[in-house]
Amino acid sequence: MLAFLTMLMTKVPAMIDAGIVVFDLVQSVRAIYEENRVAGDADWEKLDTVITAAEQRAMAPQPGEG
Amino acid sequence: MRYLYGLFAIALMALGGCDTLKATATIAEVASTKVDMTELNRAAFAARAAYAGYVVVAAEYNELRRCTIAPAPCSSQAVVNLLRDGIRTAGPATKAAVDVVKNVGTDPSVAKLVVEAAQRSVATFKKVINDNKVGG
Repeated sequence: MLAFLTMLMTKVPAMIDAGIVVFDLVQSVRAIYEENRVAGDADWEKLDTVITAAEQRAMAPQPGEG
Repeated sequence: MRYLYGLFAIALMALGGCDTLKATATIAEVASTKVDMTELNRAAFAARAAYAGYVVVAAEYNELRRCTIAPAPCSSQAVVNLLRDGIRTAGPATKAAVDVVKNVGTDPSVAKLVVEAAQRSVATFKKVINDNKVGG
């Protein structure tokens, strides 16, 4: 139980960070539609920054992987 | 904007003649093309943003220790492999959609096909995440 709680506590900051990123993405899409405009360079670059970082993390080999 | 094009077309038709009809058809094509590309741009952005959100979830899942060496919450290597396949498919597909909508010279019908393919790849990626309860 203690091990589980410890693991959960170490994951909480990451989960909050992920939640903020996803919330920000939703807000970006909503803004495009509500402001009745097309995505500009800044919008695309912001998305690419999030995607590049997340793809590297998702592809990185982890301990116990094989 | 479509309303204005419509009014303009009606005004041209009031003048009469075949040239008027041709002009009306051209204006209608231009109007529909403009609207389609705007909508496609937004659809491509939404697909790429959705993909971004799912990749963040996949990254979090990958960083959990594998269930073979750790207690729950842990990650399955088989699911991680499926997520990586999804990234390899949806990543380039959504990037292609971005490229076609940003390219002014792209044929709208081609752009539509590319954006729809991107949407399908993101839907498949989402299904892998949902089916395997990745992210809770």
